[in-house]
Amino acid sequence: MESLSEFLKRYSRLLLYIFLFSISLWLLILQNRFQRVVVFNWLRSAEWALMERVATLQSYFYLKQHNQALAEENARLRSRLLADRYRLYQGGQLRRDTVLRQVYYYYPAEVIHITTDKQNNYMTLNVGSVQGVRPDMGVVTGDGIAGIVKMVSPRYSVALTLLHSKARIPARIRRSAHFGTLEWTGGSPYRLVLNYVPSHVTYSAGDTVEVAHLSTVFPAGYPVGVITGGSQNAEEGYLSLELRPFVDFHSIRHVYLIDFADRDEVNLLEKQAVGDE
Amino acid sequence: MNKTVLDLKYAAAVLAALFFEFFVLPRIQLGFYFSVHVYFYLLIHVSVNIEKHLALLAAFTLGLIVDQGLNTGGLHAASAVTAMYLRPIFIRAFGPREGYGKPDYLTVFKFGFANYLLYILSMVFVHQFVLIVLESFSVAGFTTIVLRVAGGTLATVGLYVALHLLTVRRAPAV
Repeated sequence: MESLSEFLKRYSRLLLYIFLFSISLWLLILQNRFQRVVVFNWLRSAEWALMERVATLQSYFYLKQHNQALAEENARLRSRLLADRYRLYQGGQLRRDTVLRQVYYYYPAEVIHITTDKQNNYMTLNVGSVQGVRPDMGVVTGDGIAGIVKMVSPRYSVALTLLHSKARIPARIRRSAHFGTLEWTGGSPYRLVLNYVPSHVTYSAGDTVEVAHLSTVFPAGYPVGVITGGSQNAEEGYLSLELRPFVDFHSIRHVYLIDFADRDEVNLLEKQAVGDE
Repeated sequence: MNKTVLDLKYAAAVLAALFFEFFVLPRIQLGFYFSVHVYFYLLIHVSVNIEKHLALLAAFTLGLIVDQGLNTGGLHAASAVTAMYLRPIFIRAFGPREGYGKPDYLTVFKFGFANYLLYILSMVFVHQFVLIVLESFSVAGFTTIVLRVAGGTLATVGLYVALHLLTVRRAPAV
């Protein structure tokens, strides 16, 4: 209270000046049309600018929800891709209409932790069994494949990335359809190897490598990376192609999990076939 | 000269200034770049020892009367109050070190001509600047504003110096 009265005493002349000047300004604006129009326009511009800033700020706060909504919409759209559906056979005839059975389902997820500097690298995702995640689901981004789900808890899951010594994914050169096995031999996260490609295959730097039709984790044709070079394995008679993955594991954040609907059926069948031998 | 006589003289000067402001100056075509107002002469020369808050209120009141007469809203009140708020700074900068004596009205004889000129130049400049900026209410015509402030300041200072030299006599030593 004392400090307030001290303040008022000290700045009384300034406060009086501001008060009198404000009254003068108010009278000026009130009685002069030109000044009134200028102030009105200025206030309106200020109001618009303020509203625009508030809207920008609001949209910033809702960015996470918007991202989530977009990711879910993307997942739905991806699930409708023709490449992820099987044509239905009826009475031994392939029906050439729109009756297709969906086999790959997409779920949006976010990477909350990832390693890239270990021999075996993993990423942790913010979705788990509550959201329908199960082991062996594929992890992809809009650019290419990223990993495979290994373990699942109710709300989180851990996937091994392509940068894992045990990651083996059948992949093929898009141009020639010759396939091999995709591996990571350690070192740079920007260098993968496509092994066991037949030695007669011709390739050139820049050729795209994609998931082969042999995978039950990823849809066939999903992009993996581009060839940057290669070498002939003289002893075993095959090619080892070096490629740069489309996915940048240093900046990966939004991903999709792919669920192959027939996986259990295929696995059971394959198990039975092996058991019969 | 006793205080009552001085106050009456000052009141008469205010009325004369207002009459001149409302009825004479509007009829004189000085041109767009030379805005001159005589009422401010009285505020510039008001007693040095006047209570500072009272000086602000006096400037506001006189400015507001001029505004109502000229239908300018609060244009003159705002400019007169601003100049009066800054007045102590100019007095400190240009005023005599040895005091003002009695009576304590500002005169060219107490300041010396050069300091007196600088003092009224500063006061008139602030008054003209606020007046013309608020009247224009835009920075779009900046050059015009500068020219009007310069023209108005020079014309007003010329008029005030002439008026002062014609009306003020050297006060007898007390």
